[in-house]
Amino acid sequence: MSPRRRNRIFALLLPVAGLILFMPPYLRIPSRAEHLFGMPVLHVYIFLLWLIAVVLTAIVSRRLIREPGAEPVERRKADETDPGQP
Amino acid sequence: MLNSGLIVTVAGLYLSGLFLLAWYTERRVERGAGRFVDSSLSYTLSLAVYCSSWTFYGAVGSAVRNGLEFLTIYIGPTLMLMAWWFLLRKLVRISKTQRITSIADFISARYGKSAWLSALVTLIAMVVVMPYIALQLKAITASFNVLSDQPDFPPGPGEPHDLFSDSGLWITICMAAFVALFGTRNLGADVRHPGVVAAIAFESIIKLLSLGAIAVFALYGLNDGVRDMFSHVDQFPDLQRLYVFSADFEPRWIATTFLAAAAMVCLPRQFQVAVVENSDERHLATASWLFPLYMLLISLFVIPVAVTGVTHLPPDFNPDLYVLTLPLHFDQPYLALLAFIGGLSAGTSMVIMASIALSIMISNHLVTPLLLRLPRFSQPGPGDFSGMLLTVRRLSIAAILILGYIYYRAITSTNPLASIGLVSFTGFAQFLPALVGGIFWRDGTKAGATTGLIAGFIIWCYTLLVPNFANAGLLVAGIVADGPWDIAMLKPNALFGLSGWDRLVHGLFWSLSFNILLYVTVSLFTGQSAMERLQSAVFVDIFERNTANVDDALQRSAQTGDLFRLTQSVLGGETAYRMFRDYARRQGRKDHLPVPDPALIAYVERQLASTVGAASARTLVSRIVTGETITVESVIAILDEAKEAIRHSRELEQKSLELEETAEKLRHANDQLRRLDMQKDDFLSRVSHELRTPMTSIRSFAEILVDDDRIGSDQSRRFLGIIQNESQRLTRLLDEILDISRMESGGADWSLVAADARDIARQSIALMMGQAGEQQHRLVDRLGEQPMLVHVAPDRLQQVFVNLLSNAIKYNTQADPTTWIETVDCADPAYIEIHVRDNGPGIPPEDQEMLFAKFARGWNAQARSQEGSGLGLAISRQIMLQLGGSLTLAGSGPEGSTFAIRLQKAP
Repeated sequence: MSPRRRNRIFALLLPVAGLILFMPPYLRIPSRAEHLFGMPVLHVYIFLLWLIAVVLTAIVSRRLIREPGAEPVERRKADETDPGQP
Repeated sequence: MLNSGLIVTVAGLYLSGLFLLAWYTERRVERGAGRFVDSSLSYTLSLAVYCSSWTFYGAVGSAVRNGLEFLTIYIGPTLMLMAWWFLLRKLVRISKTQRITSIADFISARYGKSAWLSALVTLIAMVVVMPYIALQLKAITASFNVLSDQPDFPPGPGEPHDLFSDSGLWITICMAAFVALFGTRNLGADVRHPGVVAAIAFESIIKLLSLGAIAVFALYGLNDGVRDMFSHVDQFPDLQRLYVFSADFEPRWIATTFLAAAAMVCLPRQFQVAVVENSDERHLATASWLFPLYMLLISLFVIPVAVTGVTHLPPDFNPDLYVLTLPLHFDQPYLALLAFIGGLSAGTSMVIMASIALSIMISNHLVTPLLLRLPRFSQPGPGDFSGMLLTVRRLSIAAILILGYIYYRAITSTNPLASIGLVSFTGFAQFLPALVGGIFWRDGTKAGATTGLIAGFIIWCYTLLVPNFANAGLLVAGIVADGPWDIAMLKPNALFGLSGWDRLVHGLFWSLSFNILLYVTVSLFTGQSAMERLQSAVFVDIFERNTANVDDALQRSAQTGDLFRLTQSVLGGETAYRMFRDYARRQGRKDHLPVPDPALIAYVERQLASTVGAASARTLVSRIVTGETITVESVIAILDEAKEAIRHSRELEQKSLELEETAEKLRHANDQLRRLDMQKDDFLSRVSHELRTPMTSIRSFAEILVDDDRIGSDQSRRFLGIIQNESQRLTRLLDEILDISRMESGGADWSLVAADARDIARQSIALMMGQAGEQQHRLVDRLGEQPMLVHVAPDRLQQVFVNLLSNAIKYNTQADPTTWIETVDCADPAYIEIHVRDNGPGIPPEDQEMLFAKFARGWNAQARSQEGSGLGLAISRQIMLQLGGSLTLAGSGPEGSTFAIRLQKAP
């Protein structure tokens, strides 16, 4: 599988996995009156998951942008001169 | 409690500072030095305008009242940003190519640049934003009142119900003036407002730091850290909500997550900062993780404030204001002031961005289309529109804020902040089907979008706005209790008998389901106009098409004069002049007006769209062009062809790349083969040359012996001796050739035994002693005492040593010829190394390459006359390879040459 395709799949997988893991059934599991590191287990679950999501997204997004031949950013095209402010 | 004068002064200074920042940024950008605003960091921070007073104050309130549900408001956008590649990126790309100015513009542009649709979206947005702005006013006013210890609204019995003593009014007036100055300083052909973005980004930093400061104060100032803070749950059973989920939290959790995610694109201000103000798609990649991080931090800060508020503050304090009352109650008035500034940042950033977005929508989609119908504007003069539009925008900002204030006075007093906000979210979510359907489903029609929107909006009003109005006494309360005209099935809180549902979920469900159903069904049964089809193709296939400027292909024609006058009227004389002059220059017509080809017409339309929106621009342009609609069909056909062509060309490109790679490999292999071939020819010619020389001698001498009768017996004996020598030489040569070719083809099958390499070397030295003595050549033994056990065929190894020593003796022309045979420490511990070093004249660099080649021995003129076949080193090298070792020239210079023999150690 080409790296391009793999990046696309991860780009889709991450938000979907995030969605599922933040949904009630999964949330019920750590929802109990216990503490971990002095914090409620539920808080630890949610914030840890959140942090992992941030890190993974950073990695995948960086890869998506670095692809050779990624769509060129349209800055100013040849005929789009900015006439400036009056 | 602080002096209200102090608070006003600080707030005033802060807002002036913001204004200066915006102004300074605009100046820098004008000069082309606005890089810092163009960064992905400032883009991400501008996205954080999402966090308004609702976040700053209301999140704590929600945490206290409803537990962890407040997290969904931040998880939703996190998920939406994580999926940026699929949704946000497409929105940004389309908006760039179509020069979209707002969400209403986007929706209208997608569905055939329809003016009605953009007007509808604008009207809906105006109604839905009212509660949201009211929320900001309520939060800021309440926080001001608390901080300065003034009576809060609603006034109690006996207190003056005077409009002008309500600080809320003054705050509203100030905000209106501020935003009007801020966001409408000029109109350009550029859709972006870098000054505003800079100010918003700055406020996002202030918000975060401020809330963080309060959280740290709560955690470490009022408690002893995390453990201590969470240890009070037994005394405060209400806190349970923050630790575990209540029994039926699921529907609201899912609903609010969905609403918050939708809000990231459907809120006009979010659409503005995320899509319209985006300057570089790559910023999305950074925002995709940085923005969720911001959300995470904000959520993290909310919790300590909420928990500490419950455990440390009196129970009748409003949880929505814990952020303020916590520092106030514990004698930290300046920390409270910092919190107030944070809240002010949160509120003002939302109001600024929302009112700018809405004012653009109102002026472009409500006012301009109306103006265009007036006869006055059928032949617009220069600068007519631009001045008018600026006034319209300022007035609409005032109108929005007034509406928000009215809502605030009338309704909001009883509701907590978060629930007001969610009502607004649900209203904006009605845009979602038309928006998302529009960019993924080509068959979504204008009729479908319109019906869906209207239905969704009406149901939203009915299920969520009406109960609020009724509870505030503005409508007959009986509507909520018994249904309109006593029809129970139409009760606003229990439509069609679905009772017992949470109000928000109920309203969301019905409004959105009707919206989607009607959108899909009506789209399936209605057709699309030519323009609709064109636009939907452009939108949905934006990533597949290369041609961004589809309109260029529309075969339209117009008079240049008409185009110029039109541009003048909307953008002003100077801008129009510059535009046309540059365009003419590019066309190669330096001092004339440009030729009015379809590309120019499309260009003008685009520039106008940046100011008045796609629909109005189209209307304006269509008045002065001819020949448009007929050819839209053919353009669509061309588009579809173009799509196929692009796909084919991409495939072709890939194939040709592969072909090139293969060709390169083939070329390489060909070169190698040719070289080998040349070597072979070389070898064969050399072999035949070497064989011929002795053969010639033998033949000539044999001929003489046969032909010449007069040869004496001495001479004939000598000749025969020569013939014998040469024959032997020939045989030797043939043996060697056979030997080496057998070795090369792998046919050599020697029996290997374990032996000490030094013994073999010493035997070779002994053998060569005689020859060395004849040349006064010293052979020095430096093989050492360490045994070197190797697996070899001993006589073959000896052959190698003998060859090296013989060469050394033969070619050393120095005064004191010496050869050292020494053991050397080998870098690789699995091998042993022996060096044969002489102090001869060295081998010239140009001969070193071919040293081990067959028959290459031309480096010493003297050598030519010596014995030897020229195969010696080649054979030695081959032998070493066969034995699993190597023979190399370790170095050579004027001080001598060194040959290195390497062998694998016997295990």
